[in-house]
Amino acid sequence: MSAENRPNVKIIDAENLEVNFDFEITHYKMDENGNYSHSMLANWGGKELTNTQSWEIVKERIRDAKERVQKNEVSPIAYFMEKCITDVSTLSKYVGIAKWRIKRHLKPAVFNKINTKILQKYADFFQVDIEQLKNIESSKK
Amino acid sequence: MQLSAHCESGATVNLLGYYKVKISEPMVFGIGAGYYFGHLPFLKMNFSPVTTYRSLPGLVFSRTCKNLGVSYERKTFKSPQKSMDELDRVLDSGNPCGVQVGAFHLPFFPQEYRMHYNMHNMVVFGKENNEYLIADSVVPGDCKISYDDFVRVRFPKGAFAPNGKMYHITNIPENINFKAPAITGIKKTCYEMLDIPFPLIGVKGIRYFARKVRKWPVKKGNKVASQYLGQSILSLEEIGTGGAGYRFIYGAFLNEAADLLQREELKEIAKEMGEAGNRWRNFSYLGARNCKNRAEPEHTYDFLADIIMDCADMEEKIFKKLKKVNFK
Repeated sequence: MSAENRPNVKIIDAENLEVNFDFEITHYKMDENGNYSHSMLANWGGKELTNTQSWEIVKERIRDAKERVQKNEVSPIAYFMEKCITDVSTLSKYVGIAKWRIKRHLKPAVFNKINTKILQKYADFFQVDIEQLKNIESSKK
Repeated sequence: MQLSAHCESGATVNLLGYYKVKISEPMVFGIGAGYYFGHLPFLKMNFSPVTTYRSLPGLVFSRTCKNLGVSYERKTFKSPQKSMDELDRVLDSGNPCGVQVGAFHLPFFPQEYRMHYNMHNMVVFGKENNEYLIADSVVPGDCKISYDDFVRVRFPKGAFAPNGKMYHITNIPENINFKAPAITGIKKTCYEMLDIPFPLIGVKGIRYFARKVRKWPVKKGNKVASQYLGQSILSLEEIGTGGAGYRFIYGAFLNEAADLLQREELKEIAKEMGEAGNRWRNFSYLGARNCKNRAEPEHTYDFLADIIMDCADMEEKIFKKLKKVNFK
């Protein structure tokens, strides 16, 4: 992935995502006589509640990770990992780095010693610059 | 192109429609025996156990084609380059091609569904200046996707990674009759719901799921229980099921099959199916209230589990009846 084509690919910004619930999908239903029909429907009665909750859980995890990064308990990789809604095993498959190495990289002391080549691998998947990867505050622009 | 509820059935409808085969979405779903239940606590998606209401991705397409006598070709790849070359070759020969993709990087997908969900299906039908033209049966209108994005969505990682899976129809018989395939599909579904000797699948699976729901708040605490419940409701209602975990689609199929095969019994069963669907909808509607405040559930999990047990009883009755219908 080169630097030019990065801007036109956008990973969703899970941290600040405001979901609108207008998207309609086809729903089937049955009337009293047992006849079936289908129509486009945006909400079946609980869409907002369940969707909001599942995003709320993601956002909570991001907030937790961010706090821990600020306290220097974990490296920024933990924050970006949560931001991309991944866990260690999925991340490992995406960036091609073994799970135990990622877990090591989550320690701040180890993170500071990682070379640029490996940082670039992370940065490519998170779609940020290496500068932003090192300093999570700058990623907010 | 036709909009549909279930992405894979929709992709199959669109692929067959290209070859002038008129078939509805419920029909594909029924012939492909997509109806299913499985609760797999050892598989985690979005940090919650997986509850599935349909068969494995890819099965609906392959079973439909097999039952209809349509020949197809399906491939997975290790190298992204090779997969794109193969796709170009198929498109150049004038055939549309179905692909299984991950939703996380899919640019035209609505934001709320862009989690790591790797079982989305869509049809590619052309290429224009390095952009692929896509008929997605869930998103209205034609979509475009650039080469780089497309590589990325075809090779996502994680649970059920598609590895660039693509499928296209190679040969189609002259006269297609839906009668025999529909019967095959019904029998397959009956077997899968009643007779698979594995406790996590079929009607037994529903009961197992209910027992699990009962234990969630005790074992994991209210917050996690609510998270698990939310995820199972999402896969029940949201992820392209057409409502109540495909129960309504299947009812529509039985209704259609009743006309096709001239069996009045099927109409009755279709109605019962709809009632089972209503009961599931009941569960998801009440369950969703629990997600409002994660710490304090509005309805007890015992109560919700009872509803699921109800559904299990209803479905067991339906499929036992369906199994006994004489199609001769």
